[in-house]
This record gives sequence, structure tokens and C-alpha cells, in this order.
Amino acid sequence: MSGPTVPELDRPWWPAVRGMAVREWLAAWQRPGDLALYAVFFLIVSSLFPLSLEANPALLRQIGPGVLWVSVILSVLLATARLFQDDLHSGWLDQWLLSGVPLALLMGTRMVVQWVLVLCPVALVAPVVAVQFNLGGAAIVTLLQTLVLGTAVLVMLSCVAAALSAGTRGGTMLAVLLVLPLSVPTLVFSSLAVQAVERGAPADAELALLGAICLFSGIVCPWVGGLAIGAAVDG
Amino acid sequence: MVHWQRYVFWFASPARAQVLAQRVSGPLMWLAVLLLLPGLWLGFVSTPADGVQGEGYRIIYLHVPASWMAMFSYALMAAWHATGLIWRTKVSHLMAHALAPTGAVFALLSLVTGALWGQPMWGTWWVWDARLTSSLLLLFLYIGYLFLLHAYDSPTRADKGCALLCLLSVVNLPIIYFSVRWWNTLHQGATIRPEGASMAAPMLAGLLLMTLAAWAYTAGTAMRRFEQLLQAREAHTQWLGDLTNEENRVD
Amino acid sequence: MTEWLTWFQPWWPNLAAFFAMGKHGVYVWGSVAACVLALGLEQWLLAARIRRWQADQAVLQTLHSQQKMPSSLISIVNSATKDRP
Repeated sequence: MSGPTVPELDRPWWPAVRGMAVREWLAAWQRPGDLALYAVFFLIVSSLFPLSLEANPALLRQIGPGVLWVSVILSVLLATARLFQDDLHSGWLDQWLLSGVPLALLMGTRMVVQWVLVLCPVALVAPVVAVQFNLGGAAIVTLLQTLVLGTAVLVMLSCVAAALSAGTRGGTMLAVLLVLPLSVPTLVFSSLAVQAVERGAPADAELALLGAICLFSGIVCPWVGGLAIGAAVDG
Repeated sequence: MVHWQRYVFWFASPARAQVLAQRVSGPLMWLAVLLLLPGLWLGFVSTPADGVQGEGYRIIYLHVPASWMAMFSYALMAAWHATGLIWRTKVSHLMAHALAPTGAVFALLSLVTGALWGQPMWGTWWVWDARLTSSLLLLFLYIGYLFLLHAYDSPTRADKGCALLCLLSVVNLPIIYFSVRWWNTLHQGATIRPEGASMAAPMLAGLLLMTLAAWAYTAGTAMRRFEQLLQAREAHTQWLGDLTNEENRVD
Repeated sequence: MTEWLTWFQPWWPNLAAFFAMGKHGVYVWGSVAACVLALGLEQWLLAARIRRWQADQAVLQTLHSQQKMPSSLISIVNSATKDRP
């Protein structure tokens, strides 16, 4: 993508979007340790729970879905701080505004790439952790389904929160504080879905609701995030 | 030539909003006291005890207004922020900033009174039922908003950032309530059912008076805080100097 | 019709029963105390903030009237500190 100096509104957006996605992907892979960090953090946090309670199998199976999902939330939030801080200071976000591409589109691209980067390590490790908590095969499949949908919602919310708090003092913890209440529906429905399958009941309702939340966030969050980035750069 | 806009946006001017807030906040607080006294009388003195819960049910005269105002304030904040974003009136954003602390206090009070109600009723200080859990999450949303408000240095960014957070949260609120209710019904948690399908007239009247008193209190405090925020933000302008100048006093 | 009169009559036989609240006294009066405390604190903090701001403005006005500070500088000070809570 050759950087345009003057935004051209009739210019096709796909090259900009593709270029940005490639840039994000490569930037993330320059530090593969950070990607592994998601998986490792997830593993460690979920191991803390059996250590702090008694490790009898029945109890673990009961708390397993909830514990797994809380660990996923914490892993996703781990990356929230660094999402926009560096980009704001380096001036990359100014280029977003200058490019003429709608901010919501750029934000959406960022969210999609971030989602893939978070999902892959977590989804690889999740079956292992699920087995540690004595969850059955069907439950693991449902867990992976909820991970696909739920991490999308969480990544979108944390991008918006990071955009809102970018450049402010206390940005890290502030973004985390903002995301946590908003992530409750995802947590509730994902964990209920896995618990339902564990009991032998179908989890269609919970997965459908999770899908609806994901779709709704997919429309609202890039738009709000784009506005937040605009305010961050201007303010 | 459209004239109606002149009247709809009359108070969008900071000077007029300042005068309005100055004049209205005092009377609103007096109205709150005026509504509070009969409300307290009806709630605590003249109504009989509840058949099932005894005297402890009287806490609803505090709990219901608090939780109602907490939710209503958040909705109002969202409405003001939406107004500010759509029509770019900075005064609207300040109105929302002024409402937030009062709303947060009421959210906290609804939790505290809820816990004090729960102890004699169910024997535990806290119970994870749908309403209390939703109140807790509403308090977290308020706290997040207040932290964000104080994190910003630039006022324009504060207005816009808080507006976006508030609107995103308000859109998520029904989803949060729904998910908490879903979670709660599946886990067969204790449900609050203090009042029956119909309340006796004096009890209802007392509740209504207390709720209106809470509204008047919120409005009065918010107006006072709004006046202060407006003064602080516009102190460097000429019009405020003219307004506070002895010769030009409006009242 | 006479039912309306009961709205004005206290239900309690004596003051002691009113304070006891049928063995729920601690909780009911505790809630009342919590409300009074929280709302009173809010009003006090708001008043303190307004007082502090007015004191600052008074200092600036005094300096201005003593011709130690031009109004343009007061303007600058106010616009620089307008974001401080």
C-alpha cells in the first residue's frame, strides 16, 4: 500500500485494509513469545484454581467451565494494555485518520487480526486444560465453540476499552476495569453452555445467544472503537 | 427559516444553562425534602407491618428508590451523552458528568440496603440473586465511568470518551440483565418477592413519594454539580466574568 | 373514606416499638443511617469542591484588583486548570 498524502474517497479500501491486516500480523509475529504468553498465562491461571481448592474430580468438573472461562477473560485482557498505547505515541494512529479509510473499518480489521492471534493459542491449550478439569469430549467441543464466539466478543470489547483509555495515565488497569462488567454476558452464556453439555442437555440456546452477542458486538464495537480512536488522536 | 430550533436548543448555550442550574438546584433540593417527609412518614410510621416479613420490609422504602434512581440516572446519562454527540452541545456532556457520582452513590446504597434487607429475610448478608447481581454490575459500570472521567486531561476527549463508554454500556445493560436472570433462574437462586402482586395504597403512596424525593434529590445535586463543572470549564471566558460581575447580576 | 385517616395516624403503639422495629431495628435503622451517611457525604464533598474553587477564584480576583495580575493571565490560569477536578 503506497501511502496516499491526500485521502481519496473514491479509492478502493481493500488495499488499505489488507495492508493493515498484514502489518498487524507481521508485527505480532515479530514477538512470538507474546503469542505463547496467552497460552501459558491461560494454563497457569487455570491451574491455580485446583491448587487453591481441593482437587477432587467432581468439584473440578463442576467449576471447570467457569474457571476456564475466567482464565480466558484474563488472558485476553492481558493484551489490552499494549493494543493502542505504542501506536498512539508512534503516530501510527494519525496515519489511520489521514488514510481516508473509515476508522470503523480499520478498527474492525485490527479486531479480527487480534482475535485470530488470541484464539489460536488459547484454543490449542483449552482441550488440555479441559481434560485437567475432567470435562468430557462433548463438553470440550462445546468449549471450543464458545471460545470461537466468546473470544471475538472479548477482543472487540477490549479493543474499544483500550481505544478509550489510550494515552491516559493508568491506561492498563483502566481498560481492564472497563471491560470486565461488559464481559459478563459472554462469561455467563459460555460457561452455561459447557455446563449444559456436561449435564447432557443441548446447549443450542446459549450458543445462539452467544452468536447474537457476537454479531451485535461486531456491528457496534468497530464503530464505537473508531470514534474512540478519532477522539484519542484529536484530544 | 426554522424557528423551533431556537427554543429546543435554548439551554445549549452555556450562559443560559448556568443561569438555569443556579435557579433550579435550590428549589429542587427543597422539593426533595418536601417529598421526603411525607414519604418517610407513610413508610416508617403510619403503614402497618408486612404479614410475612414483619417490620424489616420497610427497607424497601429506601432500597427501591435507590435502585430505581441508579438505573434511571444511567439511562439519563446515556440520553445526555447521545444528545451531546448528535447535536455537538458540550453542555449536554457536562450534564451527564454531573449525574454520574449521584447515580453511583445510589447504586452503592441499593446494594447496601439490599444486603441489610437480605440478612433478616434469608439469613445471609449477600445472595447472588438476579437483582442484586445486576445492581453490583451497574455499580461496576458507574465506577468504570468515573475512573475514565478522571483519567482524561483534555475536556473534549473526556466528553467524547465518556459518551462512548456510557452509550456502549447502556446498550449492553439489557443484555447483562438478561444474562444474569438466565444464570440465576438456572441456578435456582433465591428470588426477592417481598411485595405481593398488589401493594396496599398507603404503602404504594409512600414508595412513590420516596422515589420522587430521590429523583428531586438527584436532579438538585446534579444541577449543582453541573453548575460547578460549567463554571470550572468556562472560567476563562468573558461571559462568566460578566455574569458574576456585581453590576450584571441576573437575579 | 375513613381509611384515609389511617394514613395520618402512627401505627406504632409507643416510641420504643418504633425504634425496635419488631427485632429488625438494627437492619432498618442501619439502612437509614447508611443512606443519610452516603447522601450527606456526597453533599459535603460537593460543597467542599465548590468552596475550594471559589477560594481559588477569590485569590485570583484579589490579585487582579491589587493590580498584581492582569485579567489575561487570570484567563490563562483558569483555562490551564479547568480540567482539574
